[in-house]
Amino acid sequence: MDLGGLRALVRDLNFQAHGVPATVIPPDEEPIQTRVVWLTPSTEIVPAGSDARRAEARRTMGIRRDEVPAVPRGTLVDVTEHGQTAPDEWRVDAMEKVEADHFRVVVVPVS
Amino acid sequence: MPLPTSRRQAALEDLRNRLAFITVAKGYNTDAGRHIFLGEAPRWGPDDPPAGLAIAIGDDSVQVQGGIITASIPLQVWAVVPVAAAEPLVAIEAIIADIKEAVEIERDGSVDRALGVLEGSTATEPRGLARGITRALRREEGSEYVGAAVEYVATLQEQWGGGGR
Repeated sequence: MDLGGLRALVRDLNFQAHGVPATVIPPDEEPIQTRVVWLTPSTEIVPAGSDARRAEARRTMGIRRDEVPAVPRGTLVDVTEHGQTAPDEWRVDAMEKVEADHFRVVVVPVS
Repeated sequence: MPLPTSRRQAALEDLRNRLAFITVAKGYNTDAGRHIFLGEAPRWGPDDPPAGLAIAIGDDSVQVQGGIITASIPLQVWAVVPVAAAEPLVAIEAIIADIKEAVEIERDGSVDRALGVLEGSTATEPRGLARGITRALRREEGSEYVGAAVEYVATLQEQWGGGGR
C-alpha cells in the first residue's frame, strides 16, 4: 500500500497545527514563505568543560523540505517564538537531523 | 571587606581586584570583570549578566624547610563571554588578552610578578606569580557564548605556626 499521500497529509496537518508563518532566506537565494515548527528547546550547560558556566536554551526548528529544499548553515529565518515578539530573526547554526519530509536545524538569534 | 589575615587570602583578593579592572570603560575588550566569583563554580542563566569570571583555587604543592613552608597554588581564571555566532575566535582571544593584561600589567605599564601585600611586603614571593596553561573553550552549536581559562601559579612562603603568614 502506498502511504505517501497519507504521510504528506500528516506533514501538512502538523505544519498547519503546530507551525507558524516564517520567511526562510538561504544564502544568496530568494526568500521563501513557509511555516516552521518550533521544537521544545533543550537546556545546555556551556561552555563545556568550564568552571564558569551558563544554562542556555538550545533552540531547534523543523523546516519542511518540499518548500525549502536546502537549508545550509547561515540561512536566515524571520520568525518569532511562540508567545514572543523578539528576537524575530534567526540564523541556522547546525543541521541536527534530516528527516524524509523536513529538516531539524539548530538556530541562534541574529544579534 | 575585612583585612586579609593570611598570605593566601591577600594574594587571592589582589587577583580579584586586578580582574575587576576588566571593563570596557577601562579600555578592555569585555565587561567580564564586573562579575567575579571567587571560590565557586557559578551557573548563570539567561537573566544574568552576559559576561563573568570565576576564580578556581587548586590544590597547592608544598615544600617544607625548617619552619618555612613554600606553597605553590594553582589559580585558574575562568571566563564566559557572549559571542557573535560568526566570530567565536575573536571573542575567545579578546577575553584571554583581557585576563593576561589585567593580571600581569600594572596601570603604569610595568609588569608585576607578585600578588598582594601583607604587613609591608608582597603576599607571594617577589617573583611568585607565574602563568600556566591557557585554555580556549570553543562555541558549541546553537550557543551564544564561549569561554576561556588562564592558569596562574602563586608561590608564597608561610611560617609554621604563623596562621598562614
